[in-house]
Amino acid sequence: MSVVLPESYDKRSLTYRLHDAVSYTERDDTCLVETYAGQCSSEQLSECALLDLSGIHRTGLRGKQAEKVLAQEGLPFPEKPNQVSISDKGAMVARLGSTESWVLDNPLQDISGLGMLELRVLNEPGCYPLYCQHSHIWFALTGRYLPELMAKICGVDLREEAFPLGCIVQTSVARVGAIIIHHQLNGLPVFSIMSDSSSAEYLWHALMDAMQEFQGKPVGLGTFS
Amino acid sequence: MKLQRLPAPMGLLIDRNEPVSFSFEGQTFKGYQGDSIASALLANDQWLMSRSFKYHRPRGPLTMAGQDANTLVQLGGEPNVLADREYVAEGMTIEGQNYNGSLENDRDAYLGKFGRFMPVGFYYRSFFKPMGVWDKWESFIRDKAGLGKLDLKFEPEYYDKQYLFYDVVVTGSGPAGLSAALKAADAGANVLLVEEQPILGGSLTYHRFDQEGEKADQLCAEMVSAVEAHARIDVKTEAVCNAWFTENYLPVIQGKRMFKVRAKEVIVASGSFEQHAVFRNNDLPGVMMSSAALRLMKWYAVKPGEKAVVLTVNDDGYHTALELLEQGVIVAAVIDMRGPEYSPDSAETLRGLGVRVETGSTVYEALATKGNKHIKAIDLRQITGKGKVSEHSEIIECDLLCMSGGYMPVYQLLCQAGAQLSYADDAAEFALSGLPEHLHIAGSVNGVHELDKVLEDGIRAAVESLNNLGLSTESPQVVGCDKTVNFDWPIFSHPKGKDFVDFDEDLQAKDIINATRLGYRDVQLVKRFSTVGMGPSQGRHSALPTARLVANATDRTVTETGVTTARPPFAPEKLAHVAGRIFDPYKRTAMHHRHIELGAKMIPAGIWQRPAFYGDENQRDHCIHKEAEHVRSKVGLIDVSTLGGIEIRGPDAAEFMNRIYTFAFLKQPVGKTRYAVLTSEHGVVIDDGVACRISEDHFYVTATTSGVDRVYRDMTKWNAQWRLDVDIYNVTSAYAAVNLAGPDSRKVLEKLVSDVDLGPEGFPYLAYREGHVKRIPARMLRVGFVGELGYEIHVPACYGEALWDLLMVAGEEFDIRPFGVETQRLLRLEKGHIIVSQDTDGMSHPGELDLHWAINRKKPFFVGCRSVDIMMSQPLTRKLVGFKLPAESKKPEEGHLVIKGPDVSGNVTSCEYSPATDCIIGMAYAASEDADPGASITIRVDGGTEVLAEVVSLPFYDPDNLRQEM
Repeated sequence: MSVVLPESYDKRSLTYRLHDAVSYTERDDTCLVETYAGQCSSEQLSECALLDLSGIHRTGLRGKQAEKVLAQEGLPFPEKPNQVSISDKGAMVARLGSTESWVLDNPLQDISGLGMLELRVLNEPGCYPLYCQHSHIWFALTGRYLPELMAKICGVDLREEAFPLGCIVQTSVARVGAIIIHHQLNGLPVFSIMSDSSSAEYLWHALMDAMQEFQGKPVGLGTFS
Repeated sequence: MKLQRLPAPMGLLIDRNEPVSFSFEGQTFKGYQGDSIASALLANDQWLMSRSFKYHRPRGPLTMAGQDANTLVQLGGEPNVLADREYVAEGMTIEGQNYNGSLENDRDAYLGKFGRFMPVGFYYRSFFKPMGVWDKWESFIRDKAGLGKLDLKFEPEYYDKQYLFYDVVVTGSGPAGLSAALKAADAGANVLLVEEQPILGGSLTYHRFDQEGEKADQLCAEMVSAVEAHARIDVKTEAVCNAWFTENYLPVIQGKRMFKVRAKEVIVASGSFEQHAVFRNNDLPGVMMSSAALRLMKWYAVKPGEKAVVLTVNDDGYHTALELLEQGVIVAAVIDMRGPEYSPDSAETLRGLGVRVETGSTVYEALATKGNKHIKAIDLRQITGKGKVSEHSEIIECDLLCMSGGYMPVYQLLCQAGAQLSYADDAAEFALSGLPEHLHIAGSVNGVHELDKVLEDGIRAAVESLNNLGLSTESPQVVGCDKTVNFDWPIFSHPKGKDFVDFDEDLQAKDIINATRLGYRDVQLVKRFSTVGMGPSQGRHSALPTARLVANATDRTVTETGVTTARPPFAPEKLAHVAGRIFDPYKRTAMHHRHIELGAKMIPAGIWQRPAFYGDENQRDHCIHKEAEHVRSKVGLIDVSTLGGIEIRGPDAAEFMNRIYTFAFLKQPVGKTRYAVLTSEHGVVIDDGVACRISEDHFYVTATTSGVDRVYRDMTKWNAQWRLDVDIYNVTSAYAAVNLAGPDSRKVLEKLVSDVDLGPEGFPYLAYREGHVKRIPARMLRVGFVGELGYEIHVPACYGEALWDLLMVAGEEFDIRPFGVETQRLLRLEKGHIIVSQDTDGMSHPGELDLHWAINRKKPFFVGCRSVDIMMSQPLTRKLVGFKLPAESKKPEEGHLVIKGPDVSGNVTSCEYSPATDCIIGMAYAASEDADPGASITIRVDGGTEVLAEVVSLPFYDPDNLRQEM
């Protein structure tokens, strides 16, 4: 269906075989699902949708100097752990601990240079890069059923009043460790889920299963445009 | 007798515009949508629904609320379906169960006549001697026991679970529950209201609370509409809260889903179970609770009989009689066990309507139609004392007997939470106390029975909850209620028996008393001996009369006697609710699908899936040997992504490594690898790996697939004490890795790597290099685990599959082949390399494993050093040795014992046929005196035969390591 194919790239999503009848778009030295065949509107995003954003650039920083390095990069540092800040360009800084943060590129806008952050960090004493690009997949759930959907696979209260926008929980989803970030994409509420990359296929299936009763479907990035 | 449907407003649950047709016992019946199976059958005058467990007595509905075992039926492949709970549906096929022949003509009904030969506990006392008699009886008893038939071809259905979170959960939507929910929600709490029935209102939907019969309907309509319109109240009907667990964790089952509810406050407004009276033949079809008759009329518009007798111990019997009269049922008599002073107004009203009212009287026996199929009359007697009646008998014909025998609080959830039951002699009723914080009760479960008081009690419980939540400062108003609903002794044993205490288990009053006479004085022992309360209804109706009977028989109070422990689940739940949609995570490497495409036989390695070998799984040994020979002669590729990976970074990285592992790491050169052994504080070898020094302050160390999580945990634990300036990072999932091994491996890699000198001098054995495999950034280690020239190549996980592809394509001209874990195990065995946890156990110290060389004695400390010193200073009692056997010998398996005289001196840890040496080789623990090469060890193999193996020095293959150091 598409001339852009995952196997044309060295860097591949660990779930690319699960996506049938899709067209891809190139991004961050790999390809991401642009659309699924028959996918017609962005309404699915408002209802219940799942995206694989694993190919999007992200990197982590840990150490006493991590905050300073983020400041040097012009990235906002959340006040407290388990909060996320958004940069002017839409990059997310997810603070996971007192000295650990992950920087996630804007899925809807390629912020050039973020991919080099890891290399720049290598030369900073007291600040160590974290390879979250490879150790963790990045799935994103959208739609109006997010708390109900997650309640089927996660024991943490993720309703708006308990888990407002900008919050992070580090928990387990369907019995695998996961980081859940509550943020927005194009004004839509999104739960981004970061989980061990070796469990990618398992978690994808678990999420798809949980989405069924909400008529959830996987969507590509093109649905946002 | 043909029952007709009553006119509206009777029939709250049925839709008369939606008729349904179904079959029961092969006969076609009609009902309406909303009918339960039982109500539809009763509407068709089919009263017989099941046969009792022991005596095969005909049984009909008792509660019409799913609280008894009388209506258990077989629904298709599903046994023990509650006919008074399950809705009838078009085309449904229903059968009775527990009969021999047909439900109507059960050949096993004769068992009732042999009741005297089946006293309580006869199973235990009859079939254990003489020795061996059980074997003769077993098949007969098993054939008779059990209800229903399992469909062994059953296809699992989809059941799942969901978490819910609420400020307040109210269980039960009767008047107390409704008022509590509204009060709590009005004050700002998020409320979940759980109701077992399909409509809200509880007793308001069927019970008559006043002589006019208006109060309940009006109140129910108002409160239910308020609840349904309330934004802060979620309602779950046809849902049962099946347990209470610590900190208000509630499993609520609705349909095929179990909700795991977390509640800050719980209000149990579960109501109370109406109780039966104990008299002869109290189990006949047509004998039912008053509340059951009311439900039949109000919910299903089914007239429960033509001529009724009501037996009561409270006002509710009088109200039932009024309702029956309104619906056209002749009420032959209301029989009140109490004296005339208790309900004079109600009695007067009924007498004014021409109904005979007898006080101080009881039903002594229900008389049956032929075959005990239905009640036809009752034997009325005056009560002359506790459980005693006059000789004078009066027979009153009837086809319906309604029992209002009092109430028992629905205490199960509360007792699970630690509440205590105490019996008030004056009210003849159990009361609950000692509730944990954040758990409240309201309504009749709290001993409050007057409707207005019940509503107040719901508000009181809500206020207590709101105070805890900080949503109110109102003072809760204690509610008192003087109304009594119980009679102290509604038990009238009959010389001919069949006066049932427990319908589920066919237990009569004398069975309970006899159990106490046999020495089972404690109610828990009575339960286990007699099986009372162990049936599907779990003592809902038997607990109270049992407590009274045991107390009376043992000269104790009912409070002292108590009831048996209430354990979850409250209502029968399917295993599917617990087991359904269990999450069973698995991990796959980036190359997983390539292995599948290449025909790998996959095996689990902990949570991972790994290729064992490639090819026909029925030719395992052949495949493995071919793969091994290929690695030895050409080049092979194995996915080792599951290897653990941990990075140690920071100024103290070398010091940290030096403290964690047994070897010396302070002076490990950058660009070199070193074998790393980890011992526990007890000196036991718990893991091993390869440590690469990437830079002065950066190590990358591998760990075993199954051990990496423990190693990482131990590392972080130790550094919490040491406070070294290091960052410890588990990168297992961040890297994919392969081992490219074989004499041609360098040639393959040279086609792909241009920024690293791969020559023997540029990249020697045990060196570490970083470079690119084509465009892929890679960490490369010269290792020799399989004993050939080899490169472990670690790349970021997203590149794993591309790395595999590049190597397989580049290796084509060298006939590269993948090999699996089983092959790798053989190859490393030939080299005498141990696998921690396969060749080691919980006692293995470095001395037993010949790992002296991997321990640095000069450094001041490593984890476990003191224990290692102590153990290695002791004489060895066993040692891991290599052994070999001729190829044609019987091959020992892992775990087979090493025998020394009469003793077991060790066990085989690894053993395979080795193509490279053409003999069977292995490793085993042997007595230290047998550990020298040339000695023999005896191994007991399958079938008990013993083989004599020769102890040899390790490795078995390439002892000078020439091949791996090429």
